[in-house]
Amino acid sequence: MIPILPTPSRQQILQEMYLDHHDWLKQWLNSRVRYPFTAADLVQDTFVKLLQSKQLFSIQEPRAYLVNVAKHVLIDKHRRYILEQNYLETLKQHADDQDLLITSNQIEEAVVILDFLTIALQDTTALTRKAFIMYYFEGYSQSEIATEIGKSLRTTQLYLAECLQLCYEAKNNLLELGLDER
Amino acid sequence: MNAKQLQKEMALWIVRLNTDDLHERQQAQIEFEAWRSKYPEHHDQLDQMLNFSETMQQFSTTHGISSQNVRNSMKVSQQSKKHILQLFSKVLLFCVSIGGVVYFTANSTMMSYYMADYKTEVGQMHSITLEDGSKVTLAAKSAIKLDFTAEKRQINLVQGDIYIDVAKDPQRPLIVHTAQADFKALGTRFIVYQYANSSVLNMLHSKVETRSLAQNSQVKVVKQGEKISADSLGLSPISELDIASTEFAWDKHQILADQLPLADLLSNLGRYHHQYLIFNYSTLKDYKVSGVINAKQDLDQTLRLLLTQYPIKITKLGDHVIYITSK
Repeated sequence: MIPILPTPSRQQILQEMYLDHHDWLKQWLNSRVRYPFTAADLVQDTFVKLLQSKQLFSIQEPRAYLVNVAKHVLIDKHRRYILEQNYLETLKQHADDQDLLITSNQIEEAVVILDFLTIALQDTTALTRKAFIMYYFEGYSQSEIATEIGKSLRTTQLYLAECLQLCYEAKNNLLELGLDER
Repeated sequence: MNAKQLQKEMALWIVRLNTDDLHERQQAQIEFEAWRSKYPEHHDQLDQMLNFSETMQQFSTTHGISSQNVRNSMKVSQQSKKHILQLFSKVLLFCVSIGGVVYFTANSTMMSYYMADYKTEVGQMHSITLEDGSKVTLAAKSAIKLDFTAEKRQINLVQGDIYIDVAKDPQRPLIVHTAQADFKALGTRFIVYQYANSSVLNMLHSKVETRSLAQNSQVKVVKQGEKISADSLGLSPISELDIASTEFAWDKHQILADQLPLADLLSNLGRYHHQYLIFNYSTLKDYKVSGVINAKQDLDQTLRLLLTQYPIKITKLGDHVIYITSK
């Protein structure tokens, strides 16, 4: 009987990757990241991402691959961090002493909202975004927007529909990934 | 019809059915009825999307998200990505100046902080020697922009506090510029503190000519052991200070408060801690604080102390946001 070489399981590959590259990655990141991020957290998140990776069996250059995953993890984290700073900064400017309107939960939600909005709208044209912001955040009617941006009502509606679809999709994607990776 | 295509169609129905143009809306309603009866299986998703669209229209009231906020977010998230990519590319690895993780908002002071020549991070202090030999130390979260020409050496204090030991150069006077005044060194060592609505000069050695940028363009010469404050109305009277304790306080990150507006104290503390302090400047500026406060000591402790002395309320939102309001 010819013995069949067992192919390594997902578990095994991950374990090996962890043992071989965990410390290296942590060190590599250590010199690059700063408050509020830590290399330890980032390495952890990177391996969690790896766990969900479909390409686990075809990774050729483990270190390059890990760095790339870490990069995307950090891009997401950093974006959320600055979106939060930015949001808090606006709150600060409009801080109203009379009543405390915002709760900590709302801050988190607001960051998630801003997160999917920026992801959704990043590839749209400036005019499309302008129409979107006027409609959803400034309360203008569709015909007012059409006049303002110098387009027909129909075109304006197409712009708004494009953004609505993109936002809806981005929001659902974000929910699927699990909101809280922070 | 694939999922995305379907979503696009539904989005357009939602937009068209909500138009303010009556004629258009009626037309859309007629067409929509036909679509609706053709695809009964999509009714649920359409309702979800409609709900989403309505929720989105409420974000400005439910979450205080303004249009400006959305625009800024677009801008900063692009910058953020660029920044991280730079961090990961070897060539640019060391180009991050004194600042570490850079963030800013379109708020003008934040923007100028980002654009500054030298800046420090939260809780850090940093000394540099300028090309002319002058030594400048930046307190936490402070920023300067240099404007050196053949005629003058101008340091624009963007935010925070600087301690400066000026190298002599009779041909090129050194001027520290703030929003409220120009401080022209006449050979010398001094500290300039930038607050929200004022800037303060502490003279440690020799003298400085202070020119108000208010309408009256008042000029006063401030000598060793004296201090002055400038705001939009002009210059304050000159008062005395203790040189030794001022130097000591600077080194030890102490704030020597002498009738300092509570709001300014809070902004100052904020520069030393990663927690985010939210407060209304105008309501807290009327409470005056005097005493020695260690900026680096535990923030909760400092706030608890303030709580016992001033009619304020402190609310914590999660781990790192602190809301301070007057009672």
